[in-house]
Amino acid sequence: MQSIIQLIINGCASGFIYFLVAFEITIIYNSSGLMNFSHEKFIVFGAYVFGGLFVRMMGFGHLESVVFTLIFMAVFGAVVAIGIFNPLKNLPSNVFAIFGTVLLSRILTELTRIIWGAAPFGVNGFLTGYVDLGSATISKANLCIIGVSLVFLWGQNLFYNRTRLGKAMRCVNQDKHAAALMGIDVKKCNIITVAMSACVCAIIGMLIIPLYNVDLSMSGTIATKGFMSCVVGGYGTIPGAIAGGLFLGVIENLYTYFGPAIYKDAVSFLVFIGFLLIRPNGILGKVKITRS
Amino acid sequence: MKKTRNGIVIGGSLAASLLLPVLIQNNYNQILLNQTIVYIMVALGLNFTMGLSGSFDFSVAAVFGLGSYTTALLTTRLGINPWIGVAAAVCMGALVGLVLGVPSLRLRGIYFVLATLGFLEIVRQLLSNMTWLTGGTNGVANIPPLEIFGISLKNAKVFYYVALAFLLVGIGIAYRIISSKWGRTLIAVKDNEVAVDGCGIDKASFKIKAYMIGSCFTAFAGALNAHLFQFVHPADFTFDFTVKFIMMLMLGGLGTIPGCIVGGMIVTLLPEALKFLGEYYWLAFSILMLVMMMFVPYGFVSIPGLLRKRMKRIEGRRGNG
Repeated sequence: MQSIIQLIINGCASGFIYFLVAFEITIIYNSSGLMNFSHEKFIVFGAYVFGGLFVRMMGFGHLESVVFTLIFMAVFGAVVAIGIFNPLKNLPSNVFAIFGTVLLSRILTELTRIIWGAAPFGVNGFLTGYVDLGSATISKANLCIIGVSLVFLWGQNLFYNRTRLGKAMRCVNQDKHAAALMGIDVKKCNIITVAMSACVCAIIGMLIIPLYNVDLSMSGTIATKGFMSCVVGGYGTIPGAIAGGLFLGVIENLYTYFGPAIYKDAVSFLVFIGFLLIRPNGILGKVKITRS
Repeated sequence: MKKTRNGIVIGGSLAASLLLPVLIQNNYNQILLNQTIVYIMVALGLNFTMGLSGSFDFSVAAVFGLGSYTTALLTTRLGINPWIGVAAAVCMGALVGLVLGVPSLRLRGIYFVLATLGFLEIVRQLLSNMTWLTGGTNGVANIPPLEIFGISLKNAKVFYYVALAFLLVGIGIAYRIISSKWGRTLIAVKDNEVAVDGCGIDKASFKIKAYMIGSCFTAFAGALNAHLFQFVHPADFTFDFTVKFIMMLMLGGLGTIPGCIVGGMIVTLLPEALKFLGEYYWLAFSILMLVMMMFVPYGFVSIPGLLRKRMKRIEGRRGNG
């Protein structure tokens, strides 16, 4: 029983990470119709900027580094949006747009490798340690993931429903032409969305440093699971991202109670294929599906 | 005029490909050439899904890996004849195409891309973790070489000619498919899905079949590769491996057979020529590729056509002025 509670809490933590990944995919997809396959490398890049640039090279404390990383990644996201994503959207087929983001991910990997080297490293004393909750022991990193995600959830809700900019972005999601006619600057909204998404990637990267160390392949499985949880919850909706992420995280952690942990990822892939077959519009069922 | 020119190009490249091994003394270069042929075959297979029906496919590395492992395990563990292993690998390719294609290609939109991406990750993890079956990260060694009429293909030059023969057959099949009614339907699906719907065509079944055939090509190439190197390792079949083949299509020209061949040769052989760039090679190559894609999206094969169009425009201007 005790271990099941622990598994559920750990599942929630990985579920919230999947939610964050699904969130950044969803907002870019909604605002520009682009699937960002370089997001995995955004996460790695964010972690390297935090651990490699600000903590190790410049010697800042952890808190300042977090703030500087977020600012850095926002600027980086805006530059990528202007320089690469906007031109890509105008190419003749979406095959090119997808491949453009894939190439961007290669460029980022090579850049990180050349600047910081291929050897993985850790950030000393960042979110390490355990907390004893009586019935279960949970690592500080997982607690922090859950906490940050909850704050984030509340914040994005406030942003999209209360602020002028957030409302404008929701308009762009619904109908780009109509939004442009109402005097909303669609291009500017896209740029801000990509910048926001890069920030979320940086947050994910920093949160998973205690789990995987700073490594070039630290986010491979997480990025794929993010895509899967998008589909499981309902592709293109933020509530779907939450539901899918938590569902996938809890299911795959509960599975480790019954079977060997190496098949954990295969289980979530099976869940994903099952959803494609039976319920492609996701748990919440809010997405319109066109069958061909 | 055009026909004779095409004839010259085809005949010339055929003669060159037949004569090339005679000029090469170095065994390393010969193996590189063999690998190029294997990779061109994969590009041909990928062309069915990406070039023709226009659905983005990330699963190449996984299918290639499964093909390699199928024949590797059958021949080393059960001692089966390598050719039967290769045939089993092709069946494996078709099976993967069916199992992955049926759920995801029936839905319009992003689902196929995500399914193939997930499949890639899962296959890599299972190959390196299911130690009892695949030998884990030690890989599978001592795969027996292929044999034809009693001649072992262990000799890289013999392998080259046999692989070249297979490639020519593959090109023939691909060419027949593209210029049949079936291939035209696929191209129509890429260009305008709604119009194809309007003609009462079941486009999902076309897409699934295209993916199945492409997977067969890829798995076959994977099996050949396993017998060429007599060793397979799970760490080879990563995302970057897939990207390599997509690069071939993009560089050469999406949806055309000459494009696959040209792209396959460039991506496999260029790293050897650009070794002096050292660790900056991939960075430079990726940036160049991104820039090129933005300006010449249909690759090298489309450049003569673009030039001709520009010449015509200049001439037209002169004629008017």
